[in-house]
Amino acid sequence: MTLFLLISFLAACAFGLVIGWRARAEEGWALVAILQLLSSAILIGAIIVAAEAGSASARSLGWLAIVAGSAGLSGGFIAARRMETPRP
Amino acid sequence: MEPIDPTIAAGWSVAALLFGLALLASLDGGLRRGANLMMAGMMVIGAVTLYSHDVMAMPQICAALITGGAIGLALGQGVPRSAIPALLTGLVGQAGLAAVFVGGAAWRNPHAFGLLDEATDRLLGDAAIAMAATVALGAMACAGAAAILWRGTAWQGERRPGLPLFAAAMLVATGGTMAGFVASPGSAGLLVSTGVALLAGWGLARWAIGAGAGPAMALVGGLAGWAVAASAFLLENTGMAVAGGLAGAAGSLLGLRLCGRAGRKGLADARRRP
Repeated sequence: MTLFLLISFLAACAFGLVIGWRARAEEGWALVAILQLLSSAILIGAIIVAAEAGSASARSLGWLAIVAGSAGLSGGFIAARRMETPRP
Repeated sequence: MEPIDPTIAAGWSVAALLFGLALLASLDGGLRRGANLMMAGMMVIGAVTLYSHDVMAMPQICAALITGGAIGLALGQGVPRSAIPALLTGLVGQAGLAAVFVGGAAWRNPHAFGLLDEATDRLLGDAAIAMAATVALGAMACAGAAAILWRGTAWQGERRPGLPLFAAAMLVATGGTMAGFVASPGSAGLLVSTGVALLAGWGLARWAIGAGAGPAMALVGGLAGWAVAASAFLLENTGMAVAGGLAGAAGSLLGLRLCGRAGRKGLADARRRP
């Protein structure tokens, strides 16, 4: 499992480096909007924590993380859609 | 090595493909398409996670999801178009804060996540590294976003000469305190590491914002991505590792490239002066 995780992570890093290298300065904010959505994947970790935690304090932290991650995902999604003017 | 469930592996592969396509779409000017693909990818890894874990407290989790979704909806729709960069900055900082919460929850209840050595009942070395990295990188992203918001996303500042030194010193100090936590895990060590990481994130963002808010924002987005990747190693979730690796590598490289370009431009301008 850990080896699969490591290989997937390294492959993602390599692809991310290609994207970071190809991006032009004027595309910066569009990429930032997508990076913000990618960072919202912490929501998945928050769900795992809230689902498996045994102590009340850990579960509460998990719920707070879910609220923060969920707000980030939905807010970032709407903001990214609003950033691009729809084509006529 | 445990065999991987083919359904889970297929789900993660689909999510990784969607994330990659979303990044490519954003480079080609299709931000809406990129956002849609990204949301689809998130839904897939969310579904895979729910499929692969025994979920307790489902009603509370749904309530937290709906509450967060409502807050995000209100923020996303409510702010004026000109304030969207500031909103994105705040949301990246929020992702960093969520990473701090995830790391803190794992520290409070390590037994539930299989992070303890069964023989000694001590935190496993790799788990301690992942936990310290999750909390420190999350704190850096949070403080970095706060520093950008403090200056304003439209701010085009000057580079102060002492800032790179301060940021570098705080980064080294963060590494040192993280190593101290890994060697001897304790709440005090984790708190000190978080505090120093906050200063490092603040210093790094203040240095990067000298090149403009965009480069600083890309760098802070990269930090949040690395925090997600660290938490993926803590919780052994491949979907998060892919998302974190993509965001971390792309954001960090773009941020450093733009900061470097601005630095060379500044140097060239300085040489041109009589």
